[in-house]
Amino acid sequence: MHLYIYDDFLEKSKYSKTINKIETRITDLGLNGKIIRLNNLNNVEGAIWGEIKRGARTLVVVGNDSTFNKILKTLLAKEVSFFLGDIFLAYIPIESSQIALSLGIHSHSDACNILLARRNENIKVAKANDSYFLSQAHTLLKDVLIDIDGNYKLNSDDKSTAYIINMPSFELAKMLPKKIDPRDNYLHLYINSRGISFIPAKKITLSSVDKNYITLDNSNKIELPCSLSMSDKEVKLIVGKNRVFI
Amino acid sequence: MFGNKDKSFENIKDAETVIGPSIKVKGNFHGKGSIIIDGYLEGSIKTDSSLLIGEKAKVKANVKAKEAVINGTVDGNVNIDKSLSLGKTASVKGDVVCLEISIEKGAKINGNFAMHSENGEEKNKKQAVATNTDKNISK
Repeated sequence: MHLYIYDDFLEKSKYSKTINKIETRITDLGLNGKIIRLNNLNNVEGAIWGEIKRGARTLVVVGNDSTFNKILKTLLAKEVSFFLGDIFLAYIPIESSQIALSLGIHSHSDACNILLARRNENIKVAKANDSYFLSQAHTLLKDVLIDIDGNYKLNSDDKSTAYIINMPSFELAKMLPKKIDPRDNYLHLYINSRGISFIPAKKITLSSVDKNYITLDNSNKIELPCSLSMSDKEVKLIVGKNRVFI
Repeated sequence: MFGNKDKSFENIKDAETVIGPSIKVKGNFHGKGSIIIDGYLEGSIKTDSSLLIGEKAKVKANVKAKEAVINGTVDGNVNIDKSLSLGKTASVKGDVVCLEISIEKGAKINGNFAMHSENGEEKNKKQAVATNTDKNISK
């Protein structure tokens, strides 16, 4: 059974035409399911948990990257994660979305066809302190010390950005020297500062003397020091054939 | 992996680990697979695969690799299981051990130099002080 999770912002009238198109396409493809709207929910985790108990096995996020991350976080919460092995997570992006592009989804109409095709991949989720991220984390490199697997430390005086990647965004994937496999248990540090630096690692720890932050999946900011590694959790994602990873 | 110094830079896609020119590394750099170093590194380098030390790279470390191309500066001992190629801008201050070597004119070695056999025994130990040569030496 499909469960469609709509974000708050879709209530705005400017999205009604897009939503109508998506709902018509979903009906045409015979993929109908229950719709829940985040703005009506005080307890998102409880609501999703309830629907899973009632048999929902494909959760379709309808919204933007922030919506996707919110639902991912909910799925990785303690109680619900028990069911993770049986649940497919799909995404219908309403706006331009880096996560959707990573998954090979280029538009909302594309997303409906991909949902029908049901090609899926188990993707491991990365951890940053107590938070999770699916795609990548980034921080400004200046004044940040980066420890790789406890073996060596690196830093740079340049003001460029350091990316710690699990599943690269569409834009970032184009810049990487090689394709990344988000199932290989490695994170990759990528820095482009007067030349490329590209380092695979099991554990990356970032620290800074001054107050500094790292942003996870373009939505969640956490303060340094921060230790990043792969978690033992994975999600079944419905992906397009043009996804950016191996 | 690294056939010669010109080709090696085309192989960035094959390298597992790349340290760019603006990066300073301190510690035991035991990389996974082939490594390219274009920045500054202090500590030790070890890989079972290939190593390329770029022209602008400064390495203050003992180096151990299966094969290597050195175009930059190394202050430390260099121990290579198979072939070592020193480009014209290479400068090594330390002992060098390898199975076979290619040295371009302009390369400098300041230290002891020895070839080892396939089973790893050192032989033909020589003192090479500020060598500038265009000769190829092989086992």
